[in-house]
Amino acid sequence: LEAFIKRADEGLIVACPYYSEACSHHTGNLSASYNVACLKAILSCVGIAPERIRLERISAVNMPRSVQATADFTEEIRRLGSSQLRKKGGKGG
Amino acid sequence: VAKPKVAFYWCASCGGCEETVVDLNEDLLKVADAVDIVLYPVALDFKRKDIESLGDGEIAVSFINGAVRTEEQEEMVKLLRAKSGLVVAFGSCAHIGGIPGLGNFWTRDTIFQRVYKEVPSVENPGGTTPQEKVAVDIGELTLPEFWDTVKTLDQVIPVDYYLPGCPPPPDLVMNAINAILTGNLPEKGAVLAPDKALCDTCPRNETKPEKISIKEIKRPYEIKIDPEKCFLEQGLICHGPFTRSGCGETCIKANMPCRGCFGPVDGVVDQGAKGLSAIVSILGLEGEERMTEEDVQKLIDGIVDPAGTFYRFSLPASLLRRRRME
Repeated sequence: LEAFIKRADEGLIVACPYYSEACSHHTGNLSASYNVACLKAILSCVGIAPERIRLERISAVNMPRSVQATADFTEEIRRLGSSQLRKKGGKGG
Repeated sequence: VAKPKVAFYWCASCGGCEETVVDLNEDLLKVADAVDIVLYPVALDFKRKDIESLGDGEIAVSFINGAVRTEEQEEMVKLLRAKSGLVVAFGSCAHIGGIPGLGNFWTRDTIFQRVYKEVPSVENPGGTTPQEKVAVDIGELTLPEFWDTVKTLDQVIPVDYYLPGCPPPPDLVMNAINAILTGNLPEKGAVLAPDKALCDTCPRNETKPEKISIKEIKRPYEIKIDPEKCFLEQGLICHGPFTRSGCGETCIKANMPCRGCFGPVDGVVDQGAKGLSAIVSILGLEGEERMTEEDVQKLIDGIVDPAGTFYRFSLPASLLRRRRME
């Protein structure tokens, strides 16, 4: 969230596609999916398009899929334009 | 010997913080003996000019509660800052924004629209909203400007210490007053409460299982709450894992989960984000490898108003701070 708020216009989070025992991070990818789902709801409450954050599940060896996902997301962000995140907030700052 | 001067002041708050001073009970008499109270709007009739007539730094300590959201509040806290040796942000609202800070999910216009025009109990056919200036027979009347943004006290003036809580409990208030009177104070900027998460001091911690797994989020009114069991284990969102202790666990003892009023422990920048990751890390642990995206969304939808839940007391102090202006 800090990186997102301070520096970025968007966030693409890439997590492992495998669940539990198949992955060394166990259920980290599931926590990430809960986290992202919730974060989307929070961001829309502060006027930030939830599409700016996206979670993709891609295996570390699937390079073509990674490239495609990044390209798709970049396209989406171009469509959304620059983020409102760093804009100051009206009367009283 | 002149007694040290002490001021209490309120900004955007409910008044509970000023009442907690009364909750000191007989200790209040000791305080009143030891100090000279120069401002205390809820109980004593001092005026702004009384403060203006004091010299710079003449007040030993000002306890200021409430967030800052109007021009007048800004003027008053700046005045008190100039006249005070120490300023203590008193209570959740001054410390991290508090409940009034939830106003930062909206703007001044949307708040006025709702409060003065849409609320069912309001009858306002002319659609009048507060104006900063209005001409009447006897001249021009003015009101302080109401801001779009609710600020924490330290976003407006430098603050020396923080007393957390909604309201701060009498024992912490008394400790702080004693520390100030005896000059036995920690480093500037300190929160005058233990640097521990509430879970560490929670009476239900002993019965807390090693691994908690929430399969469905519940709200307190939906279930009969077990008075012994960890709230998280019962599916209730409790802010204990990501909230500072020191409150005396009063909510827990009343069989209510922690709502997060003490703010985060030292080093946590964003209580809401911390809370979000703490809660999601224990969601649906069992059988989750079979969960579909819809299942995940359903579980998350159980958290009604996640923004208001996780940022209930701390939105103005968080990384989000407020809703973006259109």
